[in-house]
Amino acid sequence: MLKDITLGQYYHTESLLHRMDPRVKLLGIVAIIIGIFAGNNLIGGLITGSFVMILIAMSRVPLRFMLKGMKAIVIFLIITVIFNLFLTPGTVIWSFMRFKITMEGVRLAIQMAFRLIFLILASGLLTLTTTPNNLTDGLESLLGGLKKFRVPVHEVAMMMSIALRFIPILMDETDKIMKAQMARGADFESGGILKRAKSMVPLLVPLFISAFRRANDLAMAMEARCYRGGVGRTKMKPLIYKKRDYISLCVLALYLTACILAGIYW
Amino acid sequence: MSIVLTNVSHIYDSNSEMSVKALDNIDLTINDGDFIGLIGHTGSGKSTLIQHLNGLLKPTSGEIIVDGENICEKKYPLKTLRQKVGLVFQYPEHQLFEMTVLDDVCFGPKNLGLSSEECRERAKKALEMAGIAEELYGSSPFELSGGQKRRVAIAGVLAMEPKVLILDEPTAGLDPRGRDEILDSISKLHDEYGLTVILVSHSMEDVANYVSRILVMNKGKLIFDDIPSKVFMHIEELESVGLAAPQMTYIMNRLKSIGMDVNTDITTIGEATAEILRALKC
Amino acid sequence: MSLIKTDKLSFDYKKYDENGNIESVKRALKDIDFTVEQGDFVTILGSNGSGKSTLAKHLNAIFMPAEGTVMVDGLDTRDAANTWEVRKRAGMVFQNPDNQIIGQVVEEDVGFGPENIGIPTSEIWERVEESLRVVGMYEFRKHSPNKLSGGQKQRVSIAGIIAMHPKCIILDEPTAMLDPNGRKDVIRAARALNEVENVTVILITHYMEEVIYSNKVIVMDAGEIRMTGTPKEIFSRADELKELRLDVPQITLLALNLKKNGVDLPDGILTIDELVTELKKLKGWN
Repeated sequence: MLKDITLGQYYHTESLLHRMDPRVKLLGIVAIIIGIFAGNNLIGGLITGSFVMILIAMSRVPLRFMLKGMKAIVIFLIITVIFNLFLTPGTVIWSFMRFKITMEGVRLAIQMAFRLIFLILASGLLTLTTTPNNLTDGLESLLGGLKKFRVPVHEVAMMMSIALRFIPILMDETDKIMKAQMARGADFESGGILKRAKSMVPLLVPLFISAFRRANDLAMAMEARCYRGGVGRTKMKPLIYKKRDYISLCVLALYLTACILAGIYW
Repeated sequence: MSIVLTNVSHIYDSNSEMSVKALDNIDLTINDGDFIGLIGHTGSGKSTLIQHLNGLLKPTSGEIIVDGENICEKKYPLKTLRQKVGLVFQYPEHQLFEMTVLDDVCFGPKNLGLSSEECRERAKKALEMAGIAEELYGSSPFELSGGQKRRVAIAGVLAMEPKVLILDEPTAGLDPRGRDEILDSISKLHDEYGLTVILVSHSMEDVANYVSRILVMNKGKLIFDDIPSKVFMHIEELESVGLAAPQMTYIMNRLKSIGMDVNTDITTIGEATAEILRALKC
Repeated sequence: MSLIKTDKLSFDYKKYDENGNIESVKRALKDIDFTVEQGDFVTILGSNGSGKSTLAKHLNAIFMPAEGTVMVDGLDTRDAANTWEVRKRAGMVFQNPDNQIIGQVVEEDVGFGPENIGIPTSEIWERVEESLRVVGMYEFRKHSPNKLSGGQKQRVSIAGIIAMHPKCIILDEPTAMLDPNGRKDVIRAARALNEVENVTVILITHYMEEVIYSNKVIVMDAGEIRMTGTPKEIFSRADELKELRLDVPQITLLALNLKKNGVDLPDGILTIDELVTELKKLKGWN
């Protein structure tokens, strides 16, 4: 069940999106966010929708693999849809007791659902096609200007990359500890909130201890490999904009213009 | 208490293209009082199999009968099963969480709904069986040595008073003496306390020294189920699935190949010594 | 000059109470004198808690001696100015395969060390390729470490160290968490490193079968060095080893048993071949 979360997982394959400069991809996410809100109508939605779909197809990440990662967010999605569906005032089209669905509510719910889905798909695509190291390199480079203001950009980027690497390991660990405690008769599923919270202790204590042990080991391993922050480091994969990246930036600009135009003229 | 598996298969991620058949039509009977060694290459399905025996995993098809009852049925109480079949995972010391050794071992009985009096009673007995000295009962489990922690964790499962005890590589990471001590304790649990024991191990020597029956798994299939000396006759098959025979078996085979008149169904040092002495005399 | 030389090295583990005062002191290493020469394959044996890992962590300046000195390639580890140079020359691989891989892709992980020491990009790629080839993991360079077996992960970690071109590699129980096949692969990689690349190897283990390839063995107990010698010499002292919670390889044990029963065999037989040869001699078949 925990393994279903694909968010933050790299999917290894060869594609244009995999080879693309992470900075372009990060800017792409920003563009899509702006695009979603600027192209705030059917045409805008269609433009963003087809743009994201084309990207998914280009990434060569199996759609099923992507959708599996979305399972965890489905509940969040449903709640958003329900809220919008029932709580938007306007022309009532269906009512039952105190619940009303309005025309505006339907419209808003669909809109919100699509916005969320596109956002999740786009950001999922980012992490699926970019190794965390690459991703943090991109962030580090984009935000590099902040170093002047003493923001520890490299360190934060490194922390993010390590966190991402350890997510699957800690997930596995959680699964193992849960099973070990279940073998001792632990019950994680029944009972009220209080009982459930209490039943988490035998899971959380070992999990924290293990996480600290791992952190300690990792810090030692990094020091043993001469890691001492960003100063004096070279890059194995330095970020250099290539022709395809400039073309991609142009495509992004086109997409964004289309969205904005759609927002203004329709 | 017997456990009977009929046609048990288990498929991970059955609805995706990454599906893996972790168990493939397993037929197996575990009898009361058995001391079984379960061996197989990493990923052969061993750990999937043992998790079926106490209901942590359910078969995709086939049935498992414990004490005459089908444990795959919805209404079967899994807690009872987990009480009867104790499972000690690899590095079990990683599951310790209480402030004191005794409290930690009480966790299992407490989950069974016993009174705190009974819990302590059981915990003490379990700690004794696992070879933990009484003066350690009040200490923090995190301050013990590696070997002691592992014993406490094993006691945590013993406190459920299982009839069958399954241990997944109980000696991993311990030094040679620690290894022998744990294995001796386990062997005592079988001989003196009458538990049915299933020992998952990567060490052919340990398996040869202690168990009376060996199960060999490969790619989700049970490929051998026999007494050690018979299983280890199949050196080539074992090697082809990433396993080996005990070193003693190899030595006897070598000696035979140079013309010494020795039997090759030898698995332990004691047997090998006797056999070589016999061969040297004649 | 010896590559590594410790002189009266002692170390304490200090336990602090809630106010930061020292509550108790446990001496983990006592007067360790030991030397490693360039090209050696040294094994350090010892039970759990004997101090072998603590000693290893002194050899690349993770720990500093409380008393005495540690010299690595002529550099004193206590001098903070030497720390990075020491770590570059004496690399270290740890026990848990999951807790030392930083990269999400094998090649990126191997490149991590060279990046830290400021190697130019094109050379990093050369080093990564060469190191992955030495440990036999080149074809996995684009894989995610999470999908590898324990033995493969450890070999990636070894490659990560080799890529920094150290003179010496310290393997701190690299096989403790592996299955027999993974263990074999890691030991094979370590031997290749020593024999082909002439890198000095210090292996810490409590698997007796892994010891026989080394040219020097050190046995530790309770923070002290108790025995030093070749594998043959060490394994001739089976009873002493057992007292130190250790053991001898199965073959050696068999030979000892035969000897106790009156068979005329030399001490310290380590391999099947040796035993077979000796038994042949006894039978007069040469």
